[in-house]
Amino acid sequence: MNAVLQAANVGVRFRVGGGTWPRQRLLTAVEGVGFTLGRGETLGVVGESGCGKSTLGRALLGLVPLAAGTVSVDGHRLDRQSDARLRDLRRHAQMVFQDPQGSLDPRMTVGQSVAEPLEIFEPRMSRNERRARVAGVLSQVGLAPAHADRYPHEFSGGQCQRVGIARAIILKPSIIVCDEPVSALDVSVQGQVVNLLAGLQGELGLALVFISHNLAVVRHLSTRVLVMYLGRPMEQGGRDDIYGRPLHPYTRALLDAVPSPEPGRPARVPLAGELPSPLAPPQGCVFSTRCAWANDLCRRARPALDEARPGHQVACHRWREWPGGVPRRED
Amino acid sequence: MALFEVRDLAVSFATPAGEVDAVAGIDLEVAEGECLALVGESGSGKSQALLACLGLLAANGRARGEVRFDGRSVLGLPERELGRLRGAGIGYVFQDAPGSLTPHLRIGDQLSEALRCHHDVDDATARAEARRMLERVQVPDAAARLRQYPHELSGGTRQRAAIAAALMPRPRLLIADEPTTALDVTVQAQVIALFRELRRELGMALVVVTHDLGVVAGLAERVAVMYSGRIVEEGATTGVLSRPAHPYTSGLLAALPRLDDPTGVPMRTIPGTPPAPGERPRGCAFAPRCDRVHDRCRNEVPALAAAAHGRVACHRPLAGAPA
Repeated sequence: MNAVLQAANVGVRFRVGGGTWPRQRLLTAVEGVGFTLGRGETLGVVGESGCGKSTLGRALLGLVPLAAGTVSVDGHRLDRQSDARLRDLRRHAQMVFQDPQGSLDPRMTVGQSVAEPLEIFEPRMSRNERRARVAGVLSQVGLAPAHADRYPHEFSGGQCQRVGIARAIILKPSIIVCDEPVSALDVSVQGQVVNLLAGLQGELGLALVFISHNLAVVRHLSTRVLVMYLGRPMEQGGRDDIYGRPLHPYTRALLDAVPSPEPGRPARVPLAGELPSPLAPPQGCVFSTRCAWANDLCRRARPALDEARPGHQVACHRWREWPGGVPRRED
Repeated sequence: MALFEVRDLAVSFATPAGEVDAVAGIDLEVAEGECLALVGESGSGKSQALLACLGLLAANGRARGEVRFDGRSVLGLPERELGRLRGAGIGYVFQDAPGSLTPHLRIGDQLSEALRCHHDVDDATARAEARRMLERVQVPDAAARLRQYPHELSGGTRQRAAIAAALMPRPRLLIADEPTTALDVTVQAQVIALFRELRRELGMALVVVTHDLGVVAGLAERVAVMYSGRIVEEGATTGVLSRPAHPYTSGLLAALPRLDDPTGVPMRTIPGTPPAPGERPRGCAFAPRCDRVHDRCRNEVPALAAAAHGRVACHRPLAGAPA
């Protein structure tokens, strides 16, 4: 496989502190994440707020420094490049943000926003050629070339997200990291944006990283899925494995949490409590404080990321007990 | 008689471009202890309709029609009496609920103030009640939380604290505007379960505003679907969700991502976007996005008429409605 994006043992740490508490502390936002992504493939990254999925997305683009591990784009390690070379690599890796309106400058026309990456990376391009490129990508994302002269406030959330995608593809990148690209959109429009991304992926051979807290949305696009909790990978595998035979209790909980419109089906509360503080992660398995299956071993020792099946990894002491997937706990 | 009754409510805003109708005449009814879900997309007017009922419209907004709470007419009440009604009669959990907490007041102060504004109790009683309410909304370690500021709490806990603040004066009706939208799916499930328990324990009526039909199924007995300022379908939740009569309701249901959707095919969507309030088409507002549209739909606004599970405003309703 021709790997476009490779991450190995990626770790990100932040220094926090100050204020009335002068001692600085280290917060581990991401630890031990690794994967390989080829052209036309999508990695879905799933987890609750605070699980480190957005930080991972930024680390993949070299927007936050790595404390450990490596990220390679098209075979080039991001940390071993000169600034000029890093800039050049960045044009191959773009990002689409969660807040479609907020990620556009309200004082710039949509055309100016979409053209901005071209001005940076191809400053010698003529104005006419630039206009033509902008018109081209706008129609690729389902907008009219005439929309280029309008301002973000004249667009709906879904349309703004199309603009964000146009801006991401105008440099013909090989990788796009989408950070919760549909969470802020109405249900009827979410699918339009997902379908647009899937279509562009096929057309342009993109490798996508799709970050979301909703497993039902991720399922449509992903070839592989990475489930994160408190910065650590809990489970990772092909789509059918993750959805058909999840081996980690946390994956099971996220699956059960997807609300269903089936009338009369009692809603479930698959997971009580909240994410522990990343400054004081639980001993042993980080999920053990909320896991219905946790035992003494889980509370004592951190489980390794085991290769349960080829291409399907899980960090749980008990995965061997449920070869067909974690059973639902009926309480 | 219904506890909360809305008749022909219209809301409009004066804008530089002229008067814009956000809500074009809707009827709602909520009985004592009942839960109604008001479903619609951004811009459908669902939030403005409810804000109007409590006299909370922006300065350029205007509400017409009839709103009755417990038999009393609400629209046009003087501000003092509205203030008494808000909170003690009708509690409101805002869309950005965590943001509706006052950032520089401790949680305990905010909760006890919410009670003391409406009821004549001393400080110690109010504080004890605040703690009980935080425990009731399942905030862990309630005593410690009372001394904290909103920014020290997680999103889910702030949401619970905002719900607790709305519940402090013991309202008979709670209006919750998109109470789960900003939350993770796991916390969403917790908040839905919390609302179900609170209703059972406190017997209050509940209006939940949401764009997510997945939330509706677990919570509401009745559902009203809004599109572009009008109610297009309403009825018992089970009926509306299992056999929707309006093409918009059916489209919303199909667009909801599910775990058993087929993969490898495009997600089902409703093409296009809702019209802006000022640019509503002449006939049915949904006509430009509807796959069942015919000439009459483009020229004539359909009225809400009886259907199998309630009422539907459509010239060509789907099977499930009487022919």
